[in-house]
Amino acid sequence: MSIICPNCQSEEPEGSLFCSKCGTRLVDKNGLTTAGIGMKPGHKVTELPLAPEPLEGVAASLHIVRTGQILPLVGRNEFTIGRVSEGQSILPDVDLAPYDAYSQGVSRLHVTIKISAGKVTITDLGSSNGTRINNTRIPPHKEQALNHGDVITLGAFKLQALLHQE
Amino acid sequence: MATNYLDNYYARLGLAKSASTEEIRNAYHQAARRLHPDARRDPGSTEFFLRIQEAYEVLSDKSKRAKYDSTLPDDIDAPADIMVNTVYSRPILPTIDDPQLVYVLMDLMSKPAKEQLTTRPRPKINVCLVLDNSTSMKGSRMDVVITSAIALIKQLKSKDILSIVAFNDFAEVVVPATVGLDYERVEARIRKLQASGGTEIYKGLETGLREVKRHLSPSHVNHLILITDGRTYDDEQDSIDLAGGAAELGITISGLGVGSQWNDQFLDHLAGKTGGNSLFAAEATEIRKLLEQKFSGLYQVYASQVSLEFSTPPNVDLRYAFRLSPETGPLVIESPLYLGNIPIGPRLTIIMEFMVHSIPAEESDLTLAEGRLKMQIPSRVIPATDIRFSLKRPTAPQPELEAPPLVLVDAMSRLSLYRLQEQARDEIADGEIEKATKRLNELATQLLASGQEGLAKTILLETEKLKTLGSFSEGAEKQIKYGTRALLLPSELKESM
Repeated sequence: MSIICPNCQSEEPEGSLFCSKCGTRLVDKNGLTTAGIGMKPGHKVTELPLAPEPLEGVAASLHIVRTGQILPLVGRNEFTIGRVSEGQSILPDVDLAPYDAYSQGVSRLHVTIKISAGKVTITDLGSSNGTRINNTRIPPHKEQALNHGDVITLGAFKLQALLHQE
Repeated sequence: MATNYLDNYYARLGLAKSASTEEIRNAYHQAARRLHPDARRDPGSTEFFLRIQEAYEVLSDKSKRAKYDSTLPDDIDAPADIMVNTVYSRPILPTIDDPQLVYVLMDLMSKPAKEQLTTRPRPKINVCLVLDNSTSMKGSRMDVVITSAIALIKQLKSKDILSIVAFNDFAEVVVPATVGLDYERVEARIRKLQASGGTEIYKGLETGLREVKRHLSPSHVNHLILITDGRTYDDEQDSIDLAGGAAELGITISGLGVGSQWNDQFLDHLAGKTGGNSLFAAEATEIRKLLEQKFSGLYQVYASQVSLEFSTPPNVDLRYAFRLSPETGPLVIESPLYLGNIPIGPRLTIIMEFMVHSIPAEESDLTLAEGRLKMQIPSRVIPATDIRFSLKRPTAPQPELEAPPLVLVDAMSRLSLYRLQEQARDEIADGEIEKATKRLNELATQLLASGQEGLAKTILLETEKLKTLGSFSEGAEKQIKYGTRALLLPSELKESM
């Protein structure tokens, strides 16, 4: 048995309270480890954090893994996600700057997320640090399907997609 | 025949009244080796040795001892008035073959109420200031050290002892260890100090320890403060060995590093070896405040020379130990584990990380460590009897999971930040720049999340430099280390304690 850190996937010994690689807390308030209990040693998996329930009546929202905040995607069908910085002419719809996006390598315009006919897709906008879905790098400017619970990594910034399955 | 609390035959041998014949013999032999007139030339040591011999002659004889005992007050042999609290990360440990980590937080506090203790006279101190007097100390650093030393001397009470040693390539006793200093003469002597030459810590340390040893006694808080701004070469291991010997005699060493050039890892090791810690003064102006804090800490001591003599079973290792309070700093993992002092009021809190390699299914409990807790109570003079301890947990195949105690999680959340920094330093030393950069970025993110923006920014700037230069700047290295360490201070943890 060992614990897989939900943030950096490092394998930590049973009984660890914090990840030795990134400092992420590994126990919740019930004493349950956040991931990986019962795993065979050496069994590497891409362990995803448990997805919170999607918001009521919202087709899609984004869960900021590190802080636990949920950003609803409402009011349109297409959203650009990035960070606002000084002197920028085109602003993203969802600004991650307040969540320390800069130091984690989020580009000003990093991805777009499209919601149409119950399907949700994501496209990397040629970001400098790239985008990964569940730890797999996606090519820029190519639309990819997004599923409920998928972890989207913008540079090093982790977001989880929360979708209402119709 | 002297029969009072301050001087009795047991106290002379550093023993309790309940000591066994063997313990009495061992204590005598140890003292004899240390104090024999052939081995020591310090003034007073012969008389001290004769007093010990007098004690041994009575206590080693059964009938003389019984007669002597009947003259002693009943309450002379009290155990240390110390409360020990332990908190474990898990109430029951799972019996698994795989390695698991178990955390133990240990709190030691003085049992008598603070009000009772503060009305007592403060403990007497026997301190040596060992000043680096090399060329780099010239100017404001030396000025601040001198004015601080003078201010501290003025606070001393009549029975306190303060000596001053200055060193560069040589060591010189500026103020010898004596009771009742003449301020004006001392001031005149230290004002004459001229900074020159290199930094040879071993020489300063050796001379300083000799001064402390002159008046070494369990009724004083025996301490050495090393103030340096440079690196010592080739004598590091010898200095560490010297510190090990000092710890055995009951002398604690603290280090105060000034500026960015000194070797913090060395100073931590040196001080940790004795139960002391290292402090960082980025600017000369901070020296005074740090020294004043250090002295006020020494005046607050209830129990000194606290140490854990421990052993672990073959399937358990003590992997890491850190003191959270009263002075934060890593402990040197070996038995005895020197813990420093228990103050009046605040607690001595340490956190230990045990690696348990496997727990066989047939075991119903596991001892993580056991041994004795030893200490001296300077204000009482009568030696405290050792406290036996055993860190033990029941085990079960699949225990129900429970939340680890909040106080432990809270302490670990801060300690894990400090350790990220430590590991990054090790990685840089090993040339693993990429790993270190990643770890530091994680550290910066965690610091930002906990509102420590200034420190996070310093780290992010440094990681940029790290990528291009392959190393840290020395100043930032220390800022990051002592910055993350400061997060562990009791004031930061108080809310949850």
